[in-house]
Amino acid sequence: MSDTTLNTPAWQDPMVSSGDSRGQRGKPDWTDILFFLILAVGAGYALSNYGSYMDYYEKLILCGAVVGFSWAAWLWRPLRALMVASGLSALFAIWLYSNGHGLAQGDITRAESVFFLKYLFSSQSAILWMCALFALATICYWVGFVSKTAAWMGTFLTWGAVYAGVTGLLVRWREGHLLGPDIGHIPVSNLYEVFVLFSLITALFYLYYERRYATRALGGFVLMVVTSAVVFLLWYSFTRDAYQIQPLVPALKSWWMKIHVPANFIGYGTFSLSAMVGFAYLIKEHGETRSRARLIPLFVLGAVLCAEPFIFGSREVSLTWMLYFGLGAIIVGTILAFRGPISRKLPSLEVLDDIMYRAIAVGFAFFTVATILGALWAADAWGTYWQWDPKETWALIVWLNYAAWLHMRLMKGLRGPMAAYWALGGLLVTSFAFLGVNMFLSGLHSYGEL
Amino acid sequence: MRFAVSLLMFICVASLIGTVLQQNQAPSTYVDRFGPFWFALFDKFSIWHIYNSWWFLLIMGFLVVSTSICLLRNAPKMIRDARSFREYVRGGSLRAFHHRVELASPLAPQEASGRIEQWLRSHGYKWKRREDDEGVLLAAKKGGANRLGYIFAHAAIVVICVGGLLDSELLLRLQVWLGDKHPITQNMMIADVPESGRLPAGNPSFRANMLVPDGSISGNAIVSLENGVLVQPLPFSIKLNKFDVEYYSTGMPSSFKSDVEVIDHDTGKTFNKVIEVNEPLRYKGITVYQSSFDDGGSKLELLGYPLHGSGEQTFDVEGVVGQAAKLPAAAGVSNVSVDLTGLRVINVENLDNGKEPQPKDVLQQVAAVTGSAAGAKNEHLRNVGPSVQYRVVDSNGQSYEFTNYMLPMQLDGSEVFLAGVRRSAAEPYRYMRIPADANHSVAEFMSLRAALNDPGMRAQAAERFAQANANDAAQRPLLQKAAEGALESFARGGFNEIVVKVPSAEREKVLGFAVPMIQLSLAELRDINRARNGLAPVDRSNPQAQQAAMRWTQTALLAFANLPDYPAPVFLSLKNFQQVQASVFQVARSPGKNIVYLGCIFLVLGVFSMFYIRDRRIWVWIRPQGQGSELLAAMTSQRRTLDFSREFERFKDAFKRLST
Repeated sequence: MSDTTLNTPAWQDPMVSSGDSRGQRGKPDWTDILFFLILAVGAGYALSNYGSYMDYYEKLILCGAVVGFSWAAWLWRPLRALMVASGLSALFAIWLYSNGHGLAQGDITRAESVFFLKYLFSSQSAILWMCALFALATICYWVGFVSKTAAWMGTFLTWGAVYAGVTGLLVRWREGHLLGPDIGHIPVSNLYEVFVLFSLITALFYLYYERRYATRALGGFVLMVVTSAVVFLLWYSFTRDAYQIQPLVPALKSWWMKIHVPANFIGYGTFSLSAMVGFAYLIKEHGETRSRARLIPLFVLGAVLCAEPFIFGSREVSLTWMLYFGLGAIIVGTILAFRGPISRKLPSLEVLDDIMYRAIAVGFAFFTVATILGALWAADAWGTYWQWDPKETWALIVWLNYAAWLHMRLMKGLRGPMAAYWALGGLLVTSFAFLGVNMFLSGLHSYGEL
Repeated sequence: MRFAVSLLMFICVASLIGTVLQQNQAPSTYVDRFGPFWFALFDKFSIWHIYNSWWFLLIMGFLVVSTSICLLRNAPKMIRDARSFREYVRGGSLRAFHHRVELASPLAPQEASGRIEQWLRSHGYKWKRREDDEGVLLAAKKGGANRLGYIFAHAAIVVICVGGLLDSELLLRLQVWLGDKHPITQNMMIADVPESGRLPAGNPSFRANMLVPDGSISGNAIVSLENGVLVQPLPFSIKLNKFDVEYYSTGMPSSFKSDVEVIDHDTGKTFNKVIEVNEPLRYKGITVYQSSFDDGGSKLELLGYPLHGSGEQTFDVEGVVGQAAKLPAAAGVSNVSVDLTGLRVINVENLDNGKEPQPKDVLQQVAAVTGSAAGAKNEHLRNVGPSVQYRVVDSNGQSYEFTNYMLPMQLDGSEVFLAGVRRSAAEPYRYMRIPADANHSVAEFMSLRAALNDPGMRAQAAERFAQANANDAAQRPLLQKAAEGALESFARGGFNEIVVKVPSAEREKVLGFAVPMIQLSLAELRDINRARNGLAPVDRSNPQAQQAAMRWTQTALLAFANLPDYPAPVFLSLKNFQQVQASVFQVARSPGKNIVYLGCIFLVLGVFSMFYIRDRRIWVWIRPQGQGSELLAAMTSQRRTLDFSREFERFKDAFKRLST
């Protein structure tokens, strides 16, 4: 009996932990190493040519990013294709902007005249493509309950949306610098940019779980929250011109932003994902029930959550608001009406519960780190690591909420509908911390005011 | 445990209140909001500064104690448990496990156990081997650090809370209480502060503010407590060489920098340092942060215009921001006092003229947001130049705040000066528009104001108005009288004065007649006044010039209509200034900071080891059975997740293969 027999996939199951054809996460093979080298060469190029524009910590973050991305790509190989494709597209866009005068040059107005920039690769066009693809993907996933092809299309379109979104953000980063050398900054500085980031992270985590648990039935649920974000994003750019790149306020000019914000949004993204999985759990749980009374809390909660971006988006009860709320109610109502067939397609309760737990655990870990990073940054920028600013306090409330959830689960074995309701309700808390604080409470974190 | 969780919930709710209710405002704000009864009640629980209230700190204290006790009680047990291999499990009891596998193998016990040990090693297990007369028991485990996660996470709560308590106002309050300190509530110079208003230089924990004007030096910071302040001496002084604000092309500030010289009191050593946002100065355990900026006593030269009577003698006022200004006798007002409160050298305003967004069709909408993310938003932002703020308090103690711009700006096609008034900082400014003259000043308007208040001039203007507008000679005196009366009322009290005696049903009609009349008379008055002042007649040679002249009169008319309500007897315009900026620093010594950071490290270690180190235990019991052996294995984990079931399946599979 040798080791080789042990390493052959002993256990055939659609759930493969690495998300690709590997049975187990093995040692990095040559493609992983090649990918690492590509990233390292890119970082090395940036360090040698633009090192003088970066401070010590920014260089450190760049090197850390190389390691981090290689590690993430090894954990889940499809990320490599995404990073390579988006990176090349962004480079193509930068080249188009440069008009052949070397990548360091560029003219922002070429976005109006060059075909590829105008319709595909300029940041706004790419982000709008992302929005459109996410919306289409959601529809496909729902149709996917009756058609396998449509479900496959859903996955395909979601990948497309993520690709477009990542490209858009990368190009946006460059466009900031084209506007003025002192204006450019990493695109995570205001509500518009982080909403794009939020959509991308949520979708990526979803795609990971989709692959890992070999089910497309959750796509419609998770992409619902992404589509809500997209609708908000569109409203925000059409009515408030929020897409325009603004220079940073002095407090944000720090390398801390590069790690604090993304870490936070991994938290927000996975928390939202777990909430939607919780919703699916409850649908599955009530799949065969005939009693309407038991569905009412789910319906109300679902409708409120659907409408939430708009509750936060407008200060008074407007027609749009009512329309959106009505639409949310109809969507949730329809899902509940078709709960029988939907629940038969959903994976088992055990799997849903596991995804929920995993998403919250990942989110919680990142949220903890993000909050700590925020405290460290605050100590530099505002003079106190913690001063009970509304955003900080709400971050603490979110943290305590999920800490309690995990505690109850790990210690008391909390399972079933209660855990699912709690995860779904957690979305209320999370989105208040994310959006509501910016809307209703004034404080130091008022970068993304509506 | 349950106690700690309910305490945490309580903290959660309390912090929630703290975010909804704005903290640390002036008590009067809360009285206004809640009324005196509720204010007094809420004040007992000091919900205006919840996070430093006695009960909040008490709960934190309880949390620390309860979590520590819990930790002390459970940690040794957990560690012992994590270290133990539990090799004294009876072989037979393994049958009680849910995840178990039992099979017979043709291999001899020694060989079987060898293979299994090899498998365990390759999968990162540590194990103990116990042999007795019945057979061999392998007790293996991995991921014991998972238990450390709990310990770390709970220790983190204690450590962070302790650090936080050290940095709260607790120590400060203790000092005030034990050291007989009294916060100062009235204005005084730092040098005059008595010993009871000074904190010791060795104060271990404080958070204070320090304002240093350009070129000045300061070695004391100010700690606010309750409604007063305490002086905190520092072991070093800071001299502000220069405070610098840099701006983006859009007019937004891009950085605040203070170039300072630090003078150590003990050694006399000095060094230079640039303090900016995100780049604090750390020296002798004290951190100095750039927190904001203020006026450090800029010198202002103002030109005053009287707003009452027919006098138009201007007067000069000189003063310093932050102090009272003396109005000269020439101003003719004695019963008001003027405080100069601010100078803003750069004012970036949106001069968009408030255009309503036009409805566009969907395609245009989409097209508008495609392409690059370059903004067109800032093209209406203009730096409209310096402005001065002052407060006028009349003899009744009524005070108003004013803001006047030094330069005119283009609004709705005409050049105007904005003069803002508000009752207090809680309100927005309401602006009056004063038309600018050919020299870009308010002089002509002010002169016209004097003329409007001069009965002789009004009569002349009314006469010329009647001459130009009467249809026949008989109507002329009537019209002249009407115009004179209207001008007189208008000068006294604006449009209100004209309609006050008219029944409300007819007001519209009267105004419809009076307003054009006043406007035309005002145009005449302007001509007369210009002639008197030796100025060239108003240019009305072409339609454009006529339009401009009419707009000027219209703007003046509206300004005059507002003047009777303007709550000051004088108008002060900014003539010249010499800016002195001041940098506001936050100065802090926080002994708990490193403790909190240590707690944060614990927390991260705890959280990650709790979720990502999986603990597993495997027991394998091997008994000889003829030539071969009989194998019984069981697997367990703290957490039975899907992952664990899958891992057990894999183990079972491998186990079967190993034993054949």
